[in-house]
Amino acid sequence: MQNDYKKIKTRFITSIIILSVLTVVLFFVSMCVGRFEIPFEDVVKYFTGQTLPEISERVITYLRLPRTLLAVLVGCALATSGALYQSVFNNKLVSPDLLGVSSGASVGACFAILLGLSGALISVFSFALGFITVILTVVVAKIFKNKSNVVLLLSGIAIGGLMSSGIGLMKYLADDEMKLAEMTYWLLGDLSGATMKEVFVMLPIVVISCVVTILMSWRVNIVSLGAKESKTLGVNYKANMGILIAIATLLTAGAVSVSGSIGWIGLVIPNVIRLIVGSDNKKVLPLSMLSGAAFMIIVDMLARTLAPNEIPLSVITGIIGTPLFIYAIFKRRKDLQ
Amino acid sequence: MKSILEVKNLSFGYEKNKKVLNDVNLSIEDGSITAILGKNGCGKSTLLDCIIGYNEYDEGQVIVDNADIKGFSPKELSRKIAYISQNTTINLDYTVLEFILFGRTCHLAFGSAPKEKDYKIAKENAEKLGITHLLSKDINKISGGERQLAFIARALTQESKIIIMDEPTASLDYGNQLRLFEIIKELKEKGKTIVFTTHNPEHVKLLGCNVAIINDGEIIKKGAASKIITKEFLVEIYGEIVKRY
Repeated sequence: MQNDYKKIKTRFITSIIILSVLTVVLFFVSMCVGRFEIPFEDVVKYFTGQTLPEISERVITYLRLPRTLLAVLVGCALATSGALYQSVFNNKLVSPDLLGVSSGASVGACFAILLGLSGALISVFSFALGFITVILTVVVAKIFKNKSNVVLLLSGIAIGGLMSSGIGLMKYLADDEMKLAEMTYWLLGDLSGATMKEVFVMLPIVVISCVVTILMSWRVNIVSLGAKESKTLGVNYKANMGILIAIATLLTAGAVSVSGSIGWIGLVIPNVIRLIVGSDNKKVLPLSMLSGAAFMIIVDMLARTLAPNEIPLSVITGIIGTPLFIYAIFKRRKDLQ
Repeated sequence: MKSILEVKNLSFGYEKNKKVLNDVNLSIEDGSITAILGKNGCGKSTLLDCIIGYNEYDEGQVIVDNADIKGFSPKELSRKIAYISQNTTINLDYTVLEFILFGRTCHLAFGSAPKEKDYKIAKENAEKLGITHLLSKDINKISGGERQLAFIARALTQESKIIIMDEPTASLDYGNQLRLFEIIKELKEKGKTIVFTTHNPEHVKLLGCNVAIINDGEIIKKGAASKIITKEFLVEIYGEIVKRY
């Protein structure tokens, strides 16, 4: 009887340790890999404060370190947000863009590019529009005065569709070839311009959101059962749902604002984790955080090493994510009948 | 015997000026079994939803342990009332053990998850109901009867005095219905108060419990099943067709 608890706990802690070690290893590999290869000894020297060739030091400080740290934060944010949305809406097939966050954030970024703004201002516009879109989705859902989550989902689809039209409009208005190319590249996801400033903006968002998410992870299970079940099991559904949606939105808007729109991670990572450990969010959420981070480091390494020019991140997440997702569907094919 | 649950002058409607429940009064004794019997759509489930605090009513009161449930936090209320729903759609693959452990939520502090002690309680209740062999199975991949037992195990794990069941026999075959009635009687023996809805008078007769008849949102009769469920009364409620059987 007590063995069950200990067995489950030991298995979970082992998984956390394995994934943490993997993420750290990938982080160091990412420091070495790229068009300019850096020997592992130099990376060790960098992190232990020893002297290393100036060129290596500059590449790590200004290029590899910020983009790898940002990859960790963005991967963690998107996977967590996907797992949260899927759980609170009791639907494994929803993605972080469920309530229109990514589309809204993309409109914001495209609008900033259209205005000729750059860098941090694109992120600010993107983040703001992402959040405004979710608020709009919630307001539209409220009009129906219906307790069902389906109304919120449908409202998300409608507002998301509107935002997609907005992206189309921005592209149409971007007559300047440079701006259209910048928009297209941004929309496919990119970490090549990552700076430590962006890392420091994303860091508190991701850390605080993840800590709150882990604290609430058992409650996420209860919220996933719906309003009536939550109420009778002792959980304030409305308040908890509100907090969890706000966290998922914050993570998605934050990630999209610094890296552009990166698909698949939020959909695929939590579903692969569920295949391995089941649906208990006490396990799914922390493991998704780590796997998302590790996955994003791999994607970013591939983006900068596979071709002479940088490949957009969504292209790679799509190529890796599609077979993984098909595998997840294949494993669950009996449940789909 | 003292009353543990009282419904006083309760009226409720999903839309303005369209009442589903009209001035309902009901008193449930501690440690009793009470069936709420009525036709489909007469307001049985709506009444239960008011008792568990899900439907926010404006008129009347629901009193549990001498206090209005509106004064309870969700946690406090769930320590007093456990609820077994008619149909809960679960698309995530929780195991039966995880599902039963959900019943411990009202005993957990914010940020914590079930501990060894909670696992012990959940497993003991699964043993009582003979579903230990199902604990590692997916809650969506067991039969309707087994799922009903998992719900009851969760309600027991919640350790509340009152257990509310909405149409508990709905998805069960005859054998499992009888097994459920045995369990309901055992729960009564252990001091639990059971309130359940049904549209089948035979179930009430089989259990020999208290019954409250609800029709068009009003309680029209209540008392011991043996006195109330008579052929004449069934004809009055369901019409002349009853006479043919």
